[in-house]
Amino acid sequence: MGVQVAKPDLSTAAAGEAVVTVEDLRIHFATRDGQTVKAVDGVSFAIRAGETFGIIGESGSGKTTVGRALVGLLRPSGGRILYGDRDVGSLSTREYRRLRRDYQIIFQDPHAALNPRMTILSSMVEPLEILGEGTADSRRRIALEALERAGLAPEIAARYPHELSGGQKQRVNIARALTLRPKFIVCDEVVAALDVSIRGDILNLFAELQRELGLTYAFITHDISVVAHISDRVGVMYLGRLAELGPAEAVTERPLHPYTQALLSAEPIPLPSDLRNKNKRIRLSGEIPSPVSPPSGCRFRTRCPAATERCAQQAPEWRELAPDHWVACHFATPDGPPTAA
Amino acid sequence: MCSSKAVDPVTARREPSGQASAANERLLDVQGLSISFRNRNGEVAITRDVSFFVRPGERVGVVGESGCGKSVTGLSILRLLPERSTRIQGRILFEGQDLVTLPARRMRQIRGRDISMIFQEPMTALDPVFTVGEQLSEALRTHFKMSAKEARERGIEALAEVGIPAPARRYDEYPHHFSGGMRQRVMIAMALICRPKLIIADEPTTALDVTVQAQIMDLLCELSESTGTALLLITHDLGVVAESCSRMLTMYAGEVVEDAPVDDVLRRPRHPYTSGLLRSLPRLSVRGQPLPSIPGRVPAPNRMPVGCRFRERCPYAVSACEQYQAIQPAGPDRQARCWRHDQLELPGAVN
Ligand SMILES: Nc1ncnc2c1ncn2[C@@H]1O[C@H](COP(=O)(O)OP(=O)(O)OP(=O)(O)O)[C@@H](O)[C@H]1O
Ligand SMILES: Nc1ncnc2c1ncn2[C@@H]1O[C@H](COP(=O)(O)OP(=O)(O)OP(=O)(O)O)[C@@H](O)[C@H]1O
Ligand code: SF4
Ligand code: SF4
Ligand SMILES: [Mg+2]
Ligand SMILES: [Mg+2]
Repeated sequence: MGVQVAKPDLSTAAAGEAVVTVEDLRIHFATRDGQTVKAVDGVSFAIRAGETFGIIGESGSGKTTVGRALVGLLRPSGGRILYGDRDVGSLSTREYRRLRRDYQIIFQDPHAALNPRMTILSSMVEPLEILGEGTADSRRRIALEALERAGLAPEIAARYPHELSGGQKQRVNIARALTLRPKFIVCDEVVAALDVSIRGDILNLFAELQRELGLTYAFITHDISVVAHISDRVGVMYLGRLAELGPAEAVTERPLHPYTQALLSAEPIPLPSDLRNKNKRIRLSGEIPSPVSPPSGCRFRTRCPAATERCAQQAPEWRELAPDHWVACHFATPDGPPTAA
Repeated sequence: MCSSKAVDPVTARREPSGQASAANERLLDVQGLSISFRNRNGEVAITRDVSFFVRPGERVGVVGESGCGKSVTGLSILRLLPERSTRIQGRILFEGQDLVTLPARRMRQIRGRDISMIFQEPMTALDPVFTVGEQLSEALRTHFKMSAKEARERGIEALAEVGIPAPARRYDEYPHHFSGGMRQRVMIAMALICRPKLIIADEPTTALDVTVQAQIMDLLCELSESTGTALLLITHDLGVVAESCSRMLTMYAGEVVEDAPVDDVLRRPRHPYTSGLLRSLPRLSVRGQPLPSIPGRVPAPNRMPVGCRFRERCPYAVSACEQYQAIQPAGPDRQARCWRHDQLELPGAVN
């Protein structure tokens, strides 16, 4: 430890150039009873080369759905996704396959992602086998290198998943994604299942790999303190839309959207009582509404302490209120969110 | 609430003990609890010599690494562990009587009435084939003589108390008609309906969003305060403990390694594991800098080292740590299982 985390020197892509862009992305699911779940319903953002783009929001807000769409596991129902400046929808199958491997995803559950009957090495070489890459020997070498990169001893390769700890399994998952030499990785709740005491270790590994390999991340998490620590920019989702997007520090310390403000205030603070701000909590009533029939106008209005008539009638515009800091609220100002009506 | 009624079977039995019980009174007093499970290959010891107590109305948080025995300890209090394969040594005194040796019939009277439990996943406790109302009224009528009509009124009141809108209508709905947060509220209503003296809550908000978690924890604390119910709160979230409990127990590898007033332990832990846990919180680190963590992993239950169980991961370990570590006094109202507790200046959650 003790290594300084600096931003990578990006030789391949100019910093700020988009690795992936989504424009008015919509992902709708049909339910069995003929209804439509608008899991993602009009989201636009661009993830810049070399950055960590945090995505926070309540359960069901559409984070995983966005993440899966970013790596091609889900097809947009509307809008488009660009890899670099190429519209994914317009690529030939061959081109798409070639580009697609640069975009990988790692999921929350380190246990579920590995086949319990396969050795770690077999699981590791599987993605390369599927792509038909290299020889058995070269695949094995790549797998062992990736394990080493992820901080695991080569002996691990011969073991089975049940012989590893949760943290080791998550390292294997990271190593497995690395075998494909991706540019971009979606990390979906990758530390949620791990003990608090070893989360830092895995988060440091992500930072180190980013520095060494110039990786770009979309980092999905419930944990605001994690997202605040590791992200460059943070997007806050609510019911299939972005409520706010901006530099991590600004969003987590000076939020502009009432939802972000409530989310931050709800996080319990592990400090002695005299150091906690006692009346900081903004109590939101109720829970996130169903994405089958989202509220009219602003989607947050059923729980927003500052909601007015206008919020029911008109969806708020996406406005840039401070440099690089965007918000969807009629009444937010550069000084902060509106106060209770 | 029900206090306006002339004779109230549920609250009446609470009056004698009252709110202002002596600070040293122990509602629950766990002494030297060692739990092991038998399997094909013999016996695996899970907890060793766990001792702690909960005062009437007190809220105590239990934290520690996954698998260290928090849930097993909670379940053992209500005797919910599989009887055939579990071996329990030690005593679990509840109002002076030992729950370990209590006849099953007496235990059933205590369960749900004097001590109730809230689980992480409400669907494990709620029966999908009965309405929420049927389950609430069943819980009441198991323990108190009461007409169906009165039980219904009580049930509706209980739902209102935990903030469920339109409680009279929702009373007749099935659990799957409720959202996750609402189900957790139903479970709290169920746990509180007999006005127990102690609630054991095992990760009650882990599956919920922070905004809903805040609602549920506020509710639990308010109700615990207004009804004088003590709470044993098992959680991995140190923030939740800080905000809702007055004391924190830290467990590691089947043992209690630290027991202290929550503000004291956050400021200055006395056990290196507690300190490591607190230092791992990202909010204490500078953005973009590496995060501290505790290297290594918990030893497997069948491979516990002889001396201090934290030794392999402890940055302060010396050869004397190879001796068995007993828990020992470490300042006012606190204990730590580390012989170096007063030599070390351990950092806590305050920079
Ligand atoms: N395959 C699917 N079919 C139908 N509905 C789906 C499907 N996948 C997701 N959904 C719904 O879409 C919404 C968004 O789900 P998603 O998993 O993206 O949320 P999330 O923000 O990742 O939540 P969590 O924090 O719980 O992981 C939810 O209402 C979910 O039930
Ligand atoms: N019925 C059982 N039979 C055998 N072993 C068990 C049983 N219940 C729990 N265990 C084992 O006891 C140990 C402690 O489990 P416990 O559920 O108490 O952990 P915990 O501290 O609650 O962890 P977590 O934070 O993951 O919930 C684990 O190793 C577990 O596998
Ligand atoms: S637009 Fe209205 S309802 Fe939406 S966040 Fe702003 S004030 Fe609240
Ligand atoms: S007894 Fe030794 S090894 Fe154990 S916690 Fe104390 S200093 Fe560390
Ligand atoms: Mg998700
Ligand atoms: Mg548990």
